[in-house]
Amino acid sequence: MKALEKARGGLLIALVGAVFLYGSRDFDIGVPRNMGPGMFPVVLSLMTIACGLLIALFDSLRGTSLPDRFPWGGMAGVAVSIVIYALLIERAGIAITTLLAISALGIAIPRMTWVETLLLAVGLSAFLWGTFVLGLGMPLYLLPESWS
Amino acid sequence: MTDFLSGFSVALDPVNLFYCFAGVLLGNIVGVLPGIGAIAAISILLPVTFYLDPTTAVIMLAGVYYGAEYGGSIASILLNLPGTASNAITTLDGYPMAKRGEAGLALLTAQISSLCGGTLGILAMVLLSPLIVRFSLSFGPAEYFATLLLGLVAGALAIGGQPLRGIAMVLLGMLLGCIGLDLNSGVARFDMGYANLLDGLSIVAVAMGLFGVPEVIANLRQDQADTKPIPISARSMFRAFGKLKAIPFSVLRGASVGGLLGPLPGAGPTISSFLAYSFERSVSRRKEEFGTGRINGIAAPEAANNAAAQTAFIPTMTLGIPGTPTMAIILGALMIHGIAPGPRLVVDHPGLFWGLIASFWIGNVMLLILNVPLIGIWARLVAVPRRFLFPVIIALICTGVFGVANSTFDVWAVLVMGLIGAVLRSHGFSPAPLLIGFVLGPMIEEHLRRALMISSGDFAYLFSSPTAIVIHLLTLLMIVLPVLRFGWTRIRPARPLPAD
Repeated sequence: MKALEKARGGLLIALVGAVFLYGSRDFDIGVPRNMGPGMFPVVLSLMTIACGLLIALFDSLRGTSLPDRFPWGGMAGVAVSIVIYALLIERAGIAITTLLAISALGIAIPRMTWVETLLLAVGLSAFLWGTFVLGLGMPLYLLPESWS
Repeated sequence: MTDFLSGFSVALDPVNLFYCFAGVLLGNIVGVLPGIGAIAAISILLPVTFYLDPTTAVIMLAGVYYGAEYGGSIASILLNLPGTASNAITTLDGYPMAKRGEAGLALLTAQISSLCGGTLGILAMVLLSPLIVRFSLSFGPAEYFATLLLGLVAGALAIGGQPLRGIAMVLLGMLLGCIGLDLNSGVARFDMGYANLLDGLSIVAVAMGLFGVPEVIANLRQDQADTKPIPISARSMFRAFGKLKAIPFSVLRGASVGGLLGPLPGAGPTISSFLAYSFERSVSRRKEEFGTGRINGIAAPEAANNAAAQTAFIPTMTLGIPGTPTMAIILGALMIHGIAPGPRLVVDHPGLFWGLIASFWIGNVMLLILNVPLIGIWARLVAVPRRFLFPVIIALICTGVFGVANSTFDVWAVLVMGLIGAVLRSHGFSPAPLLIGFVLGPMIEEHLRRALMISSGDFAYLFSSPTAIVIHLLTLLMIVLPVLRFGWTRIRPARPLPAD
């Protein structure tokens, strides 16, 4: 079981290679003289799978240390805040989106206080609006469009 | 040389001058702040450059890149925390000097060495680039294939230690590079039904996802102890000017090492600074003083990393082969602007090429002016708690990547790439080779297909010219080199040097 744990990284790579190989099942491979769209992806996926399996083999045999403990807390905070941006930035405007996203992130940051979060959100919203919208003309709004 | 001088007319254009300043200022800031590197800053800045003229865009992005080399030494010396990886070696002698009250001298040495190293690197670029271009204009698909293969192999092996992991990452990057329309056949590959993927995965999303997001995820929970930087004033730096007599040869040696290694694919400023330090130590008559705060131990690596940061542009601009992930992003920025990288770039866009080189030098001088009188401000910036950085990075990434196509599709793409990057990182995979594979993958596919079409499927064509064979031999050397590098890491000075 411990060997499997150590081999996880390599197996992961092999799995990704397999996914790409499955994705290229319908592409025409062609011949060297006239390669089809499938030649490169298929060869690359096969090499990736081989490489991943080799890594897995070496890692499980060698006395490598176990993978680092995965930073779940950090990942959750970052993922949630990016999701908030993706969902809201066009609808709720920069200010509200940033405030919500930074608050979500702030929960995951040790020693971050609510005052700091709020001040950062205000400052960042102003900065983003000033540079990206006013300066570069990105089609976004500071506040929800329907408010103005 | 006249070309170089004409470049100044481009670089001194007020708009270019402004963005050059903005670039080096930002680069200096991210260099000073430990925990965020030039590559993250450049990927965050990439969408901004869509709104600029290509020359201006590259001038700014390049400014961030070499600006970080300047700023990074400040954190190394005052905080014992390298601002960027290539300044790590500067902590060995910089921090001990700062501790015994010579922070001004240490900082001034770092800044002046950086300027001299950068200048020598620029000179090398001015002299060498036209020669390389004249040579490479005759490149056919076979030579291109050889050069790209060299870039990929070097990218895979550059991280050292575990070559298999590097190879796996390059392959993964090449697979991601396959996403989108296949230009030869018009078949959409791996588009999963999203029209946004037909043009391929955006390099902005890939770079931000791999270098910005995992950095935040990994460091978010780490409670950083607020170390106090050593206080410093501009006056102590001005007073130290007289003591610089000891460094000219160290600077020359460092700049030579850096200038030579910079253009090699996979080497870059970090390895240059480490090699320059060990070289400097080996030629010194007082080896035992290295690591205890010796001025030459700062001068050589700082000259080396700046020289390397400049000469790294030689293969990127003259051949279209990025040696480091940062160069890959800059190449991506050019491609976004519809400028095809390769030997024709210098011929077709002389204003861009020579203007960029001229801007290097202007930017280097700007950095010196920024850093010496204003050192007090930078010293305070070093102490900014890192927890404030993370929200800023995430907000800039999400808003910036939205601007790539003014759509939230790319924000989702960053999320996916970021999660992939974080998982890979936690399993000991470095994202740098992946990015190189992502940029070079589509190029090598194109040239290989073209080469084999010309030769009607005969693989011997790839080895048909002396140039191609020489490049393939270099690739072979690259594969042997890690063995040598392994030997070198064993003789690298350990921190407290044993009296020998």
